[in-house]
Amino acid sequence: MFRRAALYLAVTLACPLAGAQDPVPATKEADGAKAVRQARTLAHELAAAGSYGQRAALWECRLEGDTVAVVPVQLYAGNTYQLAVGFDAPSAVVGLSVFDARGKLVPGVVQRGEGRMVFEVKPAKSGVFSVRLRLADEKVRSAVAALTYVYK
Amino acid sequence: MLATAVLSLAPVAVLAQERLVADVPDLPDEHAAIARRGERLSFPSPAEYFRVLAKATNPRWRTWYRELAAVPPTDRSKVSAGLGFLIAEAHLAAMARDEQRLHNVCLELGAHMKILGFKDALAPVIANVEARVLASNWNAVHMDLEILAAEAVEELLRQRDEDSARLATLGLWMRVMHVGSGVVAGGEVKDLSLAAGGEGLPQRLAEVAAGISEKAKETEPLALMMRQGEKVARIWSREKFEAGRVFTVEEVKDTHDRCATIVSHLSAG
Repeated sequence: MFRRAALYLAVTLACPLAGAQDPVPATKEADGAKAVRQARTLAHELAAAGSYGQRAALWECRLEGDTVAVVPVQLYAGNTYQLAVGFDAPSAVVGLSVFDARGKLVPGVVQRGEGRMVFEVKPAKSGVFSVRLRLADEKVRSAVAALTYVYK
Repeated sequence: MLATAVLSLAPVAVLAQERLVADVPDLPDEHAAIARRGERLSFPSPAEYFRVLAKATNPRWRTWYRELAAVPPTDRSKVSAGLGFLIAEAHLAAMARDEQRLHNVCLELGAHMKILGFKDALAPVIANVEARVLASNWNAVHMDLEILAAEAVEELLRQRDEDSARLATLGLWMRVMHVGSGVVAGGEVKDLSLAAGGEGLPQRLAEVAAGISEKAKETEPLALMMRQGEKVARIWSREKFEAGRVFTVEEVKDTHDRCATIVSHLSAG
């Protein structure tokens, strides 16, 4: 998987993580599949509802305890993006923040549903942004998250 | 993966909405480091990039078509890069809503995939592209082309031909950047850095190129591609972006010329 990801065109990508517990357990296929399905369905719904273009590429990984996942995403000023995140645990609450290439927080609107969330962002500058994910609720301490996005 | 195509068109579920509270501090250095070494969703879709260009100016996409070769090259490195060029060409035709051109490009893609040994494996993806074209579902065409690019890379890796996998990726983006820099040079685009696909993209392409085996890199035309690509990455270096450097039209034209040189040399039979 890592070899594939190094070519940057893989459809499912591994995740970089930081946290107290390292190494992070590998994602179980069944768990991952549920989160991936949630993210893809959500992205598809968003694309259909708002005439957005949809990415085929998708990122997934398991969030554990206080670990943080950071996903670099290239975004363009002038486009509107809706980041679609799906989880395998319906009650999981995930904190999502987007930072620009200089590490500054980018404002956006979050919408949350059961096992899914959307973050809408209109970047002021083009570049590589960092999407940071972490579990934000004490009740669920482990969940697989999957991220993709739509654009227009 | 292709299941995405058949997902239901159910209306978006009602989601609780909140505005992000701006009390989050800047991204700490250790997290930025993870992002830098992390795997990337950061390679955009060519369609995403072309759409930004379409908003910034009004490109006449058809003027950027390249003549399709009557016979694919025989050199495997050129066929691999050529596969990337053709996927870019297909995105371009989709931007122009040009059904006939997309059909012709798909035929040429099939010829390239046959030489590379995975025509049958990816025939369903090509068929999907053609079906979307007939239905004028252009968003889905772009998405299927993204899937095609990813699966072609997968097939080449399955053949343990990592150099060709990298060349397919580079071919795609060299051609996309060739068109993009030409559009920016010829239009009144405020953000000239769009010529290089935005901050960071040339560097990521340089990283992909750096992974090609040393032996292959020393032979032409890959040696030329490496030299020209490094110069493009230097024009659009991170340091210049961080210093807030204003880029010039000359740099855009230089980028365009170098991409044109790469595309031309990797296309020649």
